[in-house]
Amino acid sequence: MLFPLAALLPILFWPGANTIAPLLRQAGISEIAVPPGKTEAWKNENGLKVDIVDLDKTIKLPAPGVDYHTNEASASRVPWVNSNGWRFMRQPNARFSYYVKGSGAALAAAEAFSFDSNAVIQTDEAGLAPLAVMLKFLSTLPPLEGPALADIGFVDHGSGLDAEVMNLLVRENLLFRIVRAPDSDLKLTVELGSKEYSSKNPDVLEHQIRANLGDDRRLIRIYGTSVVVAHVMGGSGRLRLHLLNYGSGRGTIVGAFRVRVLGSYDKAQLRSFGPPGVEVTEFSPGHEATEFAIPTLKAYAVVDLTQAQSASARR
Amino acid sequence: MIPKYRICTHFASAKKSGMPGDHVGQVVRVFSEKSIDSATARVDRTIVKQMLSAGMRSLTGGSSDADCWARFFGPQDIIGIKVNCSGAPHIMSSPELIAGIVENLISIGIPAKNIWIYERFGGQLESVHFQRYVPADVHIWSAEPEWTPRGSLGGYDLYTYVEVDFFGEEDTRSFMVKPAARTFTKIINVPKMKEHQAAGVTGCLKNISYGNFSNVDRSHRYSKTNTYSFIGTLASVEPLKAKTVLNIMDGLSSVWQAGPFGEYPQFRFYPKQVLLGTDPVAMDHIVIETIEAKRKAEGAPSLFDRSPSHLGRDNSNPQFNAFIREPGHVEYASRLGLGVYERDKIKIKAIEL
Repeated sequence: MLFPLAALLPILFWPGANTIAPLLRQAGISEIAVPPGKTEAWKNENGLKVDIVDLDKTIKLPAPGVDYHTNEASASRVPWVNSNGWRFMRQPNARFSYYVKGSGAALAAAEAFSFDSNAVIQTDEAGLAPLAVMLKFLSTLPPLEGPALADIGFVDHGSGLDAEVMNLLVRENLLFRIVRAPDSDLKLTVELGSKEYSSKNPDVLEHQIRANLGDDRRLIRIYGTSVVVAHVMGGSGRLRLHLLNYGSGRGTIVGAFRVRVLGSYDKAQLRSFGPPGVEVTEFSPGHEATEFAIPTLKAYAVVDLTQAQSASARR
Repeated sequence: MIPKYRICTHFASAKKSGMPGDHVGQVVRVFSEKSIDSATARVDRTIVKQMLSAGMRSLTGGSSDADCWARFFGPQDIIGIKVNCSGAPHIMSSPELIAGIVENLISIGIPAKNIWIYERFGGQLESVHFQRYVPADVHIWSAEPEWTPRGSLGGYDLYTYVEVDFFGEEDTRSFMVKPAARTFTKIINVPKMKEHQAAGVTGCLKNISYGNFSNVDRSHRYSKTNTYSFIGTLASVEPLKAKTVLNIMDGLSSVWQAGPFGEYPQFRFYPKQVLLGTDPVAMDHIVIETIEAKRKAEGAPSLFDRSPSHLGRDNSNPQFNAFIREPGHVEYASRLGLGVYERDKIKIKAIEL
């Protein structure tokens, strides 16, 4: 039996002086991590839980976001999404650290939370408030039972090519999990270097994987934006979609976009970081797939999909 | 090879289709030397209205302007006027022409509030300032206004789309503009006569297709584009095909290279004409001839040229183009039932004012 587990909340890492403490309290941050040897300075700061984290023992992550590679190949409005999703999946038990300035800290927190990863986030003073607001939002999300869901099993041998292909799969919302051997619960198993996947070009491999899976069999499709990455969890009639807007670090708010989820669901509840009152629209429960629109997305949102009892019984 | 298209629409094919309509294979061409000043690009609104009048009478056989317009529209109609503003502020559906159309619609009892001037991108639309030319109640609407993030689907009908995978792009759907699907009862297509770097020309078909769907520029990401089949496919989607009952093409000014944009003054020219018809294929065949003739006169390669030696990003040189042009999209659209392409079956009524 699976029990609801609260996902790990990221923690602010603050290597600087404790003079920042009033600002932290003002921002609503109640837990921080500091380097070894810095705890003494913080011991009298009431209302702040202080952990020790040695950054040298963490895996350092680049800031999540997007780049526009307009000088490469043909002009394209599709940006380059920098997601750490594949890194979390490759080392699910590792501890990670970010250094992200300003409002990008909020996206980093949401990213780590979505992938249920153990991460600390170092930021600057400008990033404190956005990070605090995001952490508060994340703490209000009700836990949901069930593992991360995937269409593809990926045999990761730890190579650079494996890494880049996994990176592309995350960016294109081709949901995978790392396996040691073919898993009959998954629709496709991918092992680079096999006869089927012998190319050395990650882009070619990603297209090949997508073609072999088939778009109609994909658990999730997103239309109308190229900067939103989804991570899906759940089981037994319930699904949680984590939706991350990687453009938010640049202040980009994503406008309305369409989501297609494989399976028939009766209800969708949106919890969105940002102004309250935003709900899914144009909800279309279908027999094979359920579709709905998200009217706007700041940095992050979750959508909980549920099947009514009768719908579950039909299966 | 034609890509595999999947059309999703809840609208059935109409018994009487707007395209190609009642005047299959007919094109009315109204020319007036005084319609636009070649030196200043200033359009004469009075002359343009006279051109409209002469053109509509010739097309329909009506005895009065009101009679002509009433053959297409009634007071209950909600009318979308699909303008083309991609080359604004230099090359776009002239506001003087749009004003003439709106005046005629209002004169037959259509309330101004039932008239919508629309385009996909708000920034382009707003740069033309149509509101200065039409009554205040006329809607001026864009699917992607400046104040929303570019690419937002808020202005599109999420139940009416074409799905196709051209090159492995992740976003494979193109959704129809929402009021075109849901609100308008009729559409007047007012394209600008232009050369187009990817499609070869942009006239009726390109304006009504790419101008009414999201996520279409993916068709011309690489030098070999998919404009050949995508344009006609989009134009044939219901209810767009049924609702588009009249095409009035602005050929007062044009571009013969580096279109659809108008940033190079050396490529602008002045055909000083308005084309009218219900058959977008026949009309676009005439556009091909017009642009082709101009290019030939300028010593530029044919629109139908497919030589790799003419591929190049610097299209300020008319010997080069970023894409292999696909003017064959017009002929392809005829095979989808959108009109007549064969030249010997096209009848041009030429009028000079």
